[in-house]
Amino acid sequence: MTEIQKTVRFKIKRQKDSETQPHWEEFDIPYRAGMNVITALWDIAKNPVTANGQKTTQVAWDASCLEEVCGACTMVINGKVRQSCTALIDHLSQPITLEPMTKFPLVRDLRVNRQRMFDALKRVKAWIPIDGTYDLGEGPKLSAQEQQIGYVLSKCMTCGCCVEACPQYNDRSEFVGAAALSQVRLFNLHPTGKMQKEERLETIMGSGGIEDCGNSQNCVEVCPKEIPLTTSIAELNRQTTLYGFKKIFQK
Amino acid sequence: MRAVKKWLQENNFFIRKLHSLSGVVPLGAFLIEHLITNSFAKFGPEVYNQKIEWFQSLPYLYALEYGFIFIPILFHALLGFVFLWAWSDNSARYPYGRNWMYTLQRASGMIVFVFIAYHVWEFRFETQLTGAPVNFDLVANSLSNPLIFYFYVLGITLTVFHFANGLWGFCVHWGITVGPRAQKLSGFLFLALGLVLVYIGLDALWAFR
Repeated sequence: MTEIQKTVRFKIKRQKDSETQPHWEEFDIPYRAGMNVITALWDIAKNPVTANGQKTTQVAWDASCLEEVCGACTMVINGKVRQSCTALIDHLSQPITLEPMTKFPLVRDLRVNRQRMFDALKRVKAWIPIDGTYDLGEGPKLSAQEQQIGYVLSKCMTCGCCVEACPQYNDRSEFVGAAALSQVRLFNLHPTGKMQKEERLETIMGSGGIEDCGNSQNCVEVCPKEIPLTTSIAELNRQTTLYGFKKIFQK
Repeated sequence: MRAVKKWLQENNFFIRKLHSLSGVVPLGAFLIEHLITNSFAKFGPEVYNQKIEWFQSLPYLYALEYGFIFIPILFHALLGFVFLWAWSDNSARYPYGRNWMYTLQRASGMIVFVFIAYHVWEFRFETQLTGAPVNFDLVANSLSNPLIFYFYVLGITLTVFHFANGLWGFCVHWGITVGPRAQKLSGFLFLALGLVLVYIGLDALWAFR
């Protein structure tokens, strides 16, 4: 008696490049205990044959760390944005649909270009300048409380989940998105970073900055690192409001 | 058009803050006053007409009407329509409570704009043109049409929703409620306020039947 092989059905959105029309392809992948979306995509790469037996090209996707700390393998799985490395097959209903994120330029299949997120980090000056013409010495100490808040914020991997789920982030808006805003909070919290606090606040008070947030709060719901993004945004609302009053009344 | 866009971009922060503030003061404050004043209808046509006459006898009436009501409404509504430009609804795909509120805030805003435009035309500008007296009978006559009556039920409910949910957004937007606990509590507070205002508004409406 031959054992019936258990398979997993995938439905994948295929697109050669941003110019061509997308189409769907289905795949049946042999089931293995503990498998995730990435291992299934590896299986497809080994044997790129669709469910109805047609030979096709390998599916293109991005992946790097395989432990949900790099953000590269982010895609839309069964309609929700998340990392494919931590998307366990046992927890997903079938057919499992895989789509690329919709808010970024498509490269191919499930691969997108998240450059807009990195540009946003540059725009909001998400760093601490420590270079000088002389040795600046040690900075002020970081309190344990600030460390705790800062640690959570520093877990952001710029994966794009928050902006993919954000109704205010699209090609009609210049919104920098929750991830970049949360980094402003992180660097404004840091005792050395505080020295450029107002400079950073200026960057998010322009168009595409914090005022473009519409408070749908999807970002905090979908963030895989459980970063309190809406708290970061509201905290920056407080900082920019106070700074706004300062600008009006102190100049 | 390009000049408007440039002006919006350069003064983004203050315009958005002013948009949010105008919804609370003067518009929200006026809404509460208006709903309570309407409730005089519960005491009968004579009391109601007396109150209207009192309002019409206010000094600087036009300045009050335009400065605290018409211009703020137009500012708030027209800018609201401009901000809708960046809206890409996804409440079906991400059906979280706050996302629904986000969508309803925008949808209610659009309907409320139509409602207020109709309401202000009917009872403020049309009467001014025709010289018809603004009193209990005028309102009762208009509301005797069930279609208009239920349009008012919808309009008042959505206006109060837009105001109460807008207050929640105002508190986040101005950095008053920062953490999730504070935002949850303020949500319940404004829900309660909204329910009270809907009751006051609809109770007065039924007094005209």
